[in-house]
Amino acid sequence: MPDFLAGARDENSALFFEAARAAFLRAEKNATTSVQRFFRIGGFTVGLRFAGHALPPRLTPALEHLSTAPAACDLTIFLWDSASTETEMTPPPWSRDDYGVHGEVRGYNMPRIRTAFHLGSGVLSALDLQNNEAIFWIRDAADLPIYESGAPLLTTLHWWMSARRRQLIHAAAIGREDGGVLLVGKGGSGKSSTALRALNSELQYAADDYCLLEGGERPFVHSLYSSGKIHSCDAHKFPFLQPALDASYNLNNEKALFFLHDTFGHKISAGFPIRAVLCPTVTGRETTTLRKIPASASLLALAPSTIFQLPGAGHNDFSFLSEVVRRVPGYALELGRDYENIPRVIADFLETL
Amino acid sequence: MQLSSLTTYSVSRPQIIREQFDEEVVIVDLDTGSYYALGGAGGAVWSAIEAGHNQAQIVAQLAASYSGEVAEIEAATLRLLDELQREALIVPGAADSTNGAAQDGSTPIATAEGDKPAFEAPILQKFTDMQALLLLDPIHEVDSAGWPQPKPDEPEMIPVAAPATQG
Repeated sequence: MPDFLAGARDENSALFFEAARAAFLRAEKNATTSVQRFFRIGGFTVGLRFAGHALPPRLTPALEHLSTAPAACDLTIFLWDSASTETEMTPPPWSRDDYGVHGEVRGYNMPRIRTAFHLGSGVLSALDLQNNEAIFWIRDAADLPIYESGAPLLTTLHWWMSARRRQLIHAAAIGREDGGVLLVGKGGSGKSSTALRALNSELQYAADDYCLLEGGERPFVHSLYSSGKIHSCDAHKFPFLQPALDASYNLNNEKALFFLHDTFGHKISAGFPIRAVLCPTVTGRETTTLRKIPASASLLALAPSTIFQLPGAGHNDFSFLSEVVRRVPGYALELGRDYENIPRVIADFLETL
Repeated sequence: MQLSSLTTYSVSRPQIIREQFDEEVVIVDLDTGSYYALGGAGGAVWSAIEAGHNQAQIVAQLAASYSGEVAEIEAATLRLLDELQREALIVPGAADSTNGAAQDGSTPIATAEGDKPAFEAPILQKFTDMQALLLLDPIHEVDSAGWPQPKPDEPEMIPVAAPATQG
């Protein structure tokens, strides 16, 4: 694998960031209008400054539950598209051979500046860790894939939060204000469907697919997105989701993406302490049970899908996750056919911790 | 078989990251997307590798720590060392400073004769389900400014109903 920490110095990457920032200011001027939104994410105020109106409806729905009043920002993200603002982006100073598997740009990922171009979505993400500013650019907002709407700004938030002892992880999270569980595992394990069932129970929902995990003596999960995905063929198992599914979007593989803030805002938690890591598996048995598993099993379920999805993830992220699974007990959540009872099993389990 | 007192091993690359627990070692290869669970006596073997022990010392340490036939322990250890090399996780030779040692939270194995646990042959489980995430597509087209043309990894999205607008 190419060494993406070699190559151009911080100076070149900073120059590109400044040029991209200047392009945003031109876009904002050309658009004649700008939209500013503020969100409380992971305990920080993140400001989104949009040039024009094309991107906000595509990027804010999954963050609505974290919306907050205007305030001084810990991180400011400048967002725009060339089509609606009629403003070109500065050309890339690197070659077409400089992209890594997650779009990381060789020579433009230095201690201060991070840069990635996601080849699937056509989104440029850049972050200045010194000035706490970031760039989000796409040629045409109309071309933004729906999955980006379900998990917006994933790359930028991963980079910025990592520097603040908050790890973006591939996990669901449900629980109560005084404590909850992470649900971890690969696709098809029952992680997301278990989390969605919390919306029809006494438990609160914090995440379906991605969340922020804060380390330390008492690990804490912060909600990040209030979006969900479900296979169309499974929709009948979640009749309570119909109000949200009425305004959903089709993904491929017959999945639907929906947003929860409007219909389930009262069931979404901003976060809670983590008391256990649960690794769900579908068993086909009658009832749902829990079985203690070693910390290594929790790490195997949690770390790979997190690390291999995120640009620049590696040693530090792995060590962070290892520390968490040593602190928090792990259990196999052996899912039975008693679907409606699953949240109760977890709620009763939380009482014992 | 004559065990070598000259052959030591080291972790092959900085991209091999690992964490050692009491029951097993979790190993992740950041280059290939493969990850592993090394159980049984494999954890003790891995500790000995990271400590710079040679082949003969590794077997001697396991024989001192576990109850079981020495010949069985030797054969199983050599099989594991061979497998770890085939997976490009270790290489013969001394470690340098760049391949940092695993974090080890494991409990030292009791060696008093009556407390020796029974030897369990090392088991290396390999998982490759994440490899697809590391496949690099060469870029074929760029626009006039040099930006790559997106390659959609999801086809056109079709709203099921009219989108809820947000401002």
